[in-house]
Amino acid sequence: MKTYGPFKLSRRSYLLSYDIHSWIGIIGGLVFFICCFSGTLALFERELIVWENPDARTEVQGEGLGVDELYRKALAGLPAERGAIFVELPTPWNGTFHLRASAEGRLHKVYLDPESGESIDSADTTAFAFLTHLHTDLHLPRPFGRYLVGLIGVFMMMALIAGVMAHPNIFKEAFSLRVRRSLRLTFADLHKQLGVWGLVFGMAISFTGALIGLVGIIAPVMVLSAFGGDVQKATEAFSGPTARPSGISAQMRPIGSLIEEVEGRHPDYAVRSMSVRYFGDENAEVAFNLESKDHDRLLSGETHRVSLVTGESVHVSTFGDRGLGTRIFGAVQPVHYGLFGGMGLKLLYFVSGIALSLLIATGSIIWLERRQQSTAGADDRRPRYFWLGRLTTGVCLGLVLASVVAIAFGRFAPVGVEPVFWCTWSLAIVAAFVAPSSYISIRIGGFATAAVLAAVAIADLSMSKTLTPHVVQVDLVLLALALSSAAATTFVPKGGFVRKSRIKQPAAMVQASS
Amino acid sequence: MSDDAIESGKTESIASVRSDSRAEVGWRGRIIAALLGGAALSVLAGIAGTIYIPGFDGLDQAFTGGLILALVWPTAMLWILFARNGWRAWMRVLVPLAALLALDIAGLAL
Repeated sequence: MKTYGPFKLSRRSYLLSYDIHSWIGIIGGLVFFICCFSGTLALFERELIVWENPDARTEVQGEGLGVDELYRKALAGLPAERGAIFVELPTPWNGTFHLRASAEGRLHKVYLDPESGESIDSADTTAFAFLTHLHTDLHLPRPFGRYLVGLIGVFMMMALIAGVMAHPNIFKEAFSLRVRRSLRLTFADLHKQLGVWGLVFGMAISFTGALIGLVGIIAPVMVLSAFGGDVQKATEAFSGPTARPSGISAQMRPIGSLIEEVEGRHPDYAVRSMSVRYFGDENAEVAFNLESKDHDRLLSGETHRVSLVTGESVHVSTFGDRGLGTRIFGAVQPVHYGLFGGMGLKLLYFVSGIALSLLIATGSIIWLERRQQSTAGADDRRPRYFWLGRLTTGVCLGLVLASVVAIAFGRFAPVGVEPVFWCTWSLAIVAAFVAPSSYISIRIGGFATAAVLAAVAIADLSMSKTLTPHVVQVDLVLLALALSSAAATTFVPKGGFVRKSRIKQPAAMVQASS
Repeated sequence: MSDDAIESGKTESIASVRSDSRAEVGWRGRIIAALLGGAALSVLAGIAGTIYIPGFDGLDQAFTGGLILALVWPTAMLWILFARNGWRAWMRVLVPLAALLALDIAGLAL
């Protein structure tokens, strides 16, 4: 029996894998694209806080105020009755001392200039936080949005596995790009190339995304089997004994000196954030979150819980120094967010994320084009494919344009991010339906995206009072993206993929004309 | 469409293969079996992994089980979809489901 591809598939299995790949892609393609593209932008949520918030562009020239003094100043801005206090220390991408805590039924946030200790109105991201929420929850209520995104990860894995099985000459196709025959063929080759070269990235992202999204469902099942359903026992196995307030006040050790002690014991690590519980109480604790200074380790996150009274270590939570399962699980977040190789790796993730989004979009486009141009008894389905094609163009291109516009508003008018994003996206979808052709939509959308990106970068460079090297780098990257977007758009023809003479007329039209 | 043409990777012309392709039956049954069975099998496989794969401690075993669950889910769904019809698809669910259920109950009881 003749077999196909490296997996020695039968003819039936080969065709079936192609069908499964196609149908998962066409049914889930739009949601896959939304998740992938928004996730690509969400990669830089932390790094772009400074760029998005001119208020946060503070630079500590000298020593600045100590952690303890800043902490006490920030504490004064919070209600007396509050839960655990989360503190983010100043970093190159966020120069503010940020403190937040839940109190009186809402989240309170305080931002301080680390040098003067003066309060800053806000150093939040609006656009990137919004896009991150689109990626993690699709703006659906929690936890359902998160679970849906997890399921998307599962189906993306299925589509990728079926895609590999559906291409018998997968390794040969990795080097085949026919650009001179027709744009549809070019897109088909591009789809295969992006699929082959981005296979490892796609599998890693979809697998880790599935785990992160579905952890709320997976964890109770695993706790049931490993700890007999005892959630408290499972929590303490990872986080250590639960701290409870004693009601007796005590003298607190300076947090700054505790940070020095912890960092002294781990010279390659730095405390990036901390969580303080029951400050002033005899059982007060601080949990220091340590990250590798160079971001060069896969399992770089560690949490050290230290008593604020005695300074003694209470518990160390780490994914390292444990079994293989824990180590792999601990690598899930760093792999998904690209946290283990510095900015170079993040940029590689950005390119790969765009490639993955293109893979999804090109897959949908070639599937729809093929059916629209086919006359094999599909006359009644032709309008369906036509509208689906327009919807695909509108959703994909509209998301790109709406995200760029949202980023522009996040920088210059943060309050308008959400309505502007939804309006732009909706308008883009409507425009894709009324445009003479999808390729005209792509051209207009591509050039509009480039124009907005360039305008934002130029406006930021010319209007900003504080221009740190970090901010200038971001603006230059935006200009480069604008140029790339414009250059890529010039390759899209004004007409269709195939020359008019090659488009077969539907049978009904042929009959009518004869 | 010859087999050679298919093998040459010209998947853009695969739509025409449909005219001489096999009559696939039971799609609806296979899809339902894949969606329900894939989830059930992955949960039971995850629990089995937690119980039977030795780990550093309980936490390590729980993490291992979680990883197995996430790996088995898409694989099981694909495997069920590859069944010849709806009935066989359900058999692909029920047989391993019964085996895994027995293993899990035995493991949890012990």
